[in-house]
Formats: sequence, C-alpha cells, structure tokens
Amino acid sequence: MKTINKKQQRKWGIFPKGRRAQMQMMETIGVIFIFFVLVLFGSIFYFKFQEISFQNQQEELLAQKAMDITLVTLFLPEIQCSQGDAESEDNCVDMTKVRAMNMMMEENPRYLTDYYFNIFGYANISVNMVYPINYSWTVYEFEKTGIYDNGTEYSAWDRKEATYFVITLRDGMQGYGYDSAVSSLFLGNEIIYSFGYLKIEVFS
Amino acid sequence: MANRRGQTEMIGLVVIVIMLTLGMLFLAKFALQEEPAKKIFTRKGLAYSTMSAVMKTELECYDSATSNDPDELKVQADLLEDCADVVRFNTAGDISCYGYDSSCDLLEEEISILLNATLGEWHKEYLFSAEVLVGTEPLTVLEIDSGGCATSTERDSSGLFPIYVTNVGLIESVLYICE
Repeated sequence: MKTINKKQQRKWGIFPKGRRAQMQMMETIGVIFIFFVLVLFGSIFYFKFQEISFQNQQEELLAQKAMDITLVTLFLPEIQCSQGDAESEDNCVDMTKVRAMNMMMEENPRYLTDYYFNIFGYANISVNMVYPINYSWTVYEFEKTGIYDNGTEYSAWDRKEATYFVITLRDGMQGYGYDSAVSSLFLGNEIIYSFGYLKIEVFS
Repeated sequence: MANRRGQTEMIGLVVIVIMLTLGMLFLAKFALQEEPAKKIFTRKGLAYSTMSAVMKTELECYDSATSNDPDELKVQADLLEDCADVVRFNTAGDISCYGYDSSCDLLEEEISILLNATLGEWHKEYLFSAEVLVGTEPLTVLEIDSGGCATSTERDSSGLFPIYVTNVGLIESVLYICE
C-alpha cells in the first residue's frame, strides 16, 4: 500500500482524528455565532419597533384627546349657537358668547383653574375668523409649564397636537354702534354668519 | 454518520427559512396596515363641517366702488341659486356685485379664498362641486379644485347638500377632501 506524506494529507483534506474534531468545533462555534447574530438583529429590530409603536400610541392618544376636546368645545353651551329653546345649530359658534367668555376668562382666572381645567386640561382653544376679516379670540388657554429655581417659567410639554375644525360664526352684534343722528346706541337685529375655524392645541 | 449530519443541516436550514418567513410576515403586517378609522372620521367630519360653514356664510356684495354698506348674501340661499340660474339659462342673473361679472364669479373667487385659508393652510387637497340636475344630465354650476383630489381614491365627502330652486331644478353641492 502506498503511504502519503503530511503535505499530501493537507492537500486532500485528510487530517488526523484530533484535528478533525477541532474543525468540527470551529464549525459549531461558527453556526452558534451566526445564530446569535441573527437573534441580536431580531431583538434590535423588535425593540426598535416597540419603541416606535409606543411613540405612535402616545401620538394617537394625544390626537384622540384633541378630538375629544374639539367635540366638547363644539357642543359647549357657553359658545354654541342657540335660539331660545330651539335646537342649537351644528358647527356654529355665537360670537357674542365668545366675546363674553373671552372677557370672563381674562377677568376671572379662577374659573380657568377651578372649572374649565377639569374639562379641557392642558390645552389652548381659540376661535379664528377668516371671513370677512382675519381675527382670533382665545377661549381657553392653559399651557403645561414648569418653574425654574430662579422663578422663570418654561414650557413643560413634550408633545403638542393641533386640531382644526371649520365652523360658522354667528354674530348678532354686528349692528351695534352709536347713531349720532339720534345720539344714542343702537343694536341691529340682523344676524350675520361669518366663516372661521376652531383651533385646539393639546399638550402632553 | 454522513446521513445524520445531512439531517441536522436540513433542520438548520428549515429553522432559518422559518425565521425569514416570520420576519417577512411581520414586515408585511405593518407595511399593509390600513389607514386608522379615526383619521377617516376626522376627514369626513371636517368635510361636513367645512361645507356646512361655507353654505351658511354670508358674502359681502357692494353695489358700487363707493358703497360703504355691503349687502350680506348667503352662499347657498342667495348666491348659488342665482348662479344656477345664470348657468342654466345663460342670463346675467339678478345679483350684481361691484368687481364681479356675476354671482358665479363672486362665488368662485370667495369660496376659493375661504377654502385656501383653511384646508389649503392645513395641507389638504379639496374639490368643491355644485351641479344642477336638469333631467338626467347634471350641469356643472361651480367647480373649485385645489388639484389632485378629483382622481384620488383616498378622499372623503361632506355628503350632498341639496336645495331645490323653482324653475331651475335641484342643485347638489358636495365637498371632497383628500390628503
């Protein structure tokens, strides 16, 4: 029988028994390494996805809150269009009431903290007129703020979600003014419908 | 022995294929996720409220350049009726406002301003359309398109806002909003 030397053994992949076990060990380690790399990639992907999913959920919750506040505002008796006992008008805001509410909030900030905060929470609500003129009235303003040690305020919210809703602005005070001919105030009974939108910003 | 090793490699291959399939399914689930129902509801609600507000709005109509006291004309009750009459019978119409050829001209210009200042500012495309039904053929009275909404499949409608005008017919207005 012809014997082969070590060089020929290496060339043809014939190793001694101990060397072959070493090779198989390396192969197993390689497979395990690749398996763990795959598991690692999977874990990174999963946790990244969980993080994004959590952020999306937070955003959705905030959007839901904004939507809820919009609906509450649209049906708020303090600003909704009404006519005596008749059914109130849909998507309509009475500007006489808005002006009164705006004034009331400025004069009595306690209403804001004691009553309206329980309804709206941290939010800004404004009624904006687009036609015939551009103008804005703040109905409710309560931004989430914090106070530094030196007493200065800062915005303490992470997210802000703004929701818009187009509304009709009914104004029965358009004819209000002073008539110099008869030297007295007059109140026109004409009701004017203007165009505007409700802007609701919520903070979290 | 060689047969046994072949079997083990086969199992490894199957495990990898299963892992890849699961990964693909996972990706597909999120890639093909449907639009949230709340978003559609919001768009629908916005379309309805916008249309309702536009229809109720009173537009200012000046008799002349020097006039200080404008007439307040309702979009649906006054102007759309007159515009349908202008389109249907090709007349000058009853309403004449300074700076505009007809009530249709005033409507087109002012509604465009209203929608641009709201929906346009919020980056939403829209299509406002008003048609008068004459027999079986609808006649377009007014069409304001911000572009891209006419062919979009992801759009929501305000629903029809119909009014019947004697001698003219049924006028149907609708507003579509799309992303």
